[in-house]
Amino acid sequence: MEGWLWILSGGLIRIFQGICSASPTFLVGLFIAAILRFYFGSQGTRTLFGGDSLRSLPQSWALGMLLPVCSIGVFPILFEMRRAKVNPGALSAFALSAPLFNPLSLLYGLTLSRPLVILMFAFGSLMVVTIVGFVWDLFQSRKESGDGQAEGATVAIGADGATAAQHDRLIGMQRLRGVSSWMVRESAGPSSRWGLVAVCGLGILAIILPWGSMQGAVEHNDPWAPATMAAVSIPVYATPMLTMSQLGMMFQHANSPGAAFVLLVIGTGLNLGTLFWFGFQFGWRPVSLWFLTLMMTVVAIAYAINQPLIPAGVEPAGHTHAFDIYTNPISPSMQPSATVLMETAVKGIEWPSWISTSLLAVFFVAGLVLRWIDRRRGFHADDSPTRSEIQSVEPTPALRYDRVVPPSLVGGTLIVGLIIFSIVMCYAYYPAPNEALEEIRVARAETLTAASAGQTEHALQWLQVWDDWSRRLEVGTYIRHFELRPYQRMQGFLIRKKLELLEHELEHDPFEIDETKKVLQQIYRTNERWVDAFRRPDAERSRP
Amino acid sequence: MRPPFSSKLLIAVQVLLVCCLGGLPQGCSSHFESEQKTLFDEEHQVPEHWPEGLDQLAEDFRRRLDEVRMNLTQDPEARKELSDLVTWTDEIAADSDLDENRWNQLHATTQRLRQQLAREGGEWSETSLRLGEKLATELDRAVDYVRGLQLARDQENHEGEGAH
Repeated sequence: MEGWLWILSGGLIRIFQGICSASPTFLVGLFIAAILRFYFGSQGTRTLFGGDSLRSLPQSWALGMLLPVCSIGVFPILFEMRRAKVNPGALSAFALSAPLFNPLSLLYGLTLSRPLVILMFAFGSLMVVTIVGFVWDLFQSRKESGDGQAEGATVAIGADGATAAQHDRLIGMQRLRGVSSWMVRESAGPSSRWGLVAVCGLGILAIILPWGSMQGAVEHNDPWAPATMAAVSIPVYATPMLTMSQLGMMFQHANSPGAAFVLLVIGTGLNLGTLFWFGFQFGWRPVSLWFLTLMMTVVAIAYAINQPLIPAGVEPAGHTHAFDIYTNPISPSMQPSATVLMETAVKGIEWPSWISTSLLAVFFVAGLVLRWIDRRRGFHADDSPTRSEIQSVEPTPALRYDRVVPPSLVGGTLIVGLIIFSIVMCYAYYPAPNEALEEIRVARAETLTAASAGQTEHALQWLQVWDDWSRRLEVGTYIRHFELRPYQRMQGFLIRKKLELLEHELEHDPFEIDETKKVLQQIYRTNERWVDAFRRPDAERSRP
Repeated sequence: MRPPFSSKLLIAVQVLLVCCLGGLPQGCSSHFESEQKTLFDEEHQVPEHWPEGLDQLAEDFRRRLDEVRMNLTQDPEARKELSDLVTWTDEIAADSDLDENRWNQLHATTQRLRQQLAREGGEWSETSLRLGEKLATELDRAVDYVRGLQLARDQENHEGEGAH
């Protein structure tokens, strides 16, 4: 295969992987946007995000922190906010903060480095969105704000002749049908298109950055680390959990904390789609100012906090694999073939992503069909769902015990329910210690057996699973006992440090079985102590 | 719908990225191959004064503490290395057969000593030296305890082999 074709294939693989990783949070974003549209309406949405008051910025930030979406999942919500004429500052506050944290990723983040660091990062993000939002609100001309119509605004209630009052007439099953048909249509609408622009950023990066070129780019002693990361982060699309795991690797490798902060705020909060959408909505001049303020604030904070953050016992490795995911996935040593491309493309995609991607694909196809039918019926592709739903409403016969609950109350309950659901999901994602230890037992057996037999690929795959479960074990313990003993934390640190050593041995070319076995011997004993630390009740702690 | 982005802007972004990132090295192997010897060293620069285990930590710490206390060394590097040993104690002790309660005692002492050293900007004052002495004693006890465990384990193994 030609060299350039090979590089291009790497870019396409990254785009495909981006779509798969975005699909779960994109579906959640569609659901939240549908709630805003059908239950809150324009007025309710504006009130939810703080209206014109000063608290709109921190309120949007706080809402963004609670809702489980990524920077692609925010698109449908942004369209609804824009349609409701929410302040541009609040819009940017929500767009930047919603993808940064959610209950799942925040808990995961607390297991990395010192919990205070992650809390400080969260506080730093609040500062950024407040400063940037304030500057934008200050400079954004009110006229533009009043006139400009979002792409989502083509679906404005007023635009298709359906008023807020008509929306309120949609209740019960009709509204539910409206919600689902809108979600299906929107999945093949502007949200998906902008999402595609976002994941194209990953493709561009993979084409520009050769395989492994980011491995030594953000070392703690490199004064250019935050600036380099700022340049890379602009086209990056990353899910909150991916960023958290990258932050973990950065802390583990003692990389630049400033670069980690830039990756969190710009890499996770912003993508190419967000940037271009803002540009098309508000004009390039104000958006350039907004973007410049954002970059300057983030990079300034990054340099201010860029003190070495090296945990006890960690000696900087000199490189990290945390950012390999942004470089071309095709290494020079690979033999070009379609099978290799396929294997590389699906590597690391977990079953929840497959399920949500399949569901999104079904939605997308159904959405295309519905939009085609709408066009045949003479409705505008974007507004017809609402209009057709409203037109089909017939007077509902009043039943004696029927009470019409205000839509905002139902919508509020749904949003609160979603937040509660995501907290409950934390307990499912981070199971009880005994369950986590059972998963670890399987991962450990696979890793050690494969490593001893020299099956490096298999061992590397399961090693990541083991590492991931080690963190989930800590979070699972903490959220149930509200405590993680220093000894448990240290044993967790030790097992991950040794797993990292094993990873380096497995990746070494040529593979050296004797060196690998030495590391395995260390892991056996450390693993025993680590598992004991989580299994033993307090009364037995003094028994070795 | 308007096109999602103008091609000029996209090209501008790409040019910017190429300018910023073009100088990045390709891959890690060439970057790290030159000066290292073993596989472990190749990936992690381990400091020369990193102790092999708890025994060596206790020994090194006692020796270096005495040197600093008796002003046998004015070398700031030696003082820094002593502080490093304090920082590494938690990890090295956790990587031994020391049980959790005994580890917690060591941990508490190292925490106090590290805070004291941070307050003094890494200098070893009288207070730090006193805490250092406490840590040295605890490390000696920890070593005795781990050795005792090892002896008991060896004895058990011998008896087991004898029974067979």
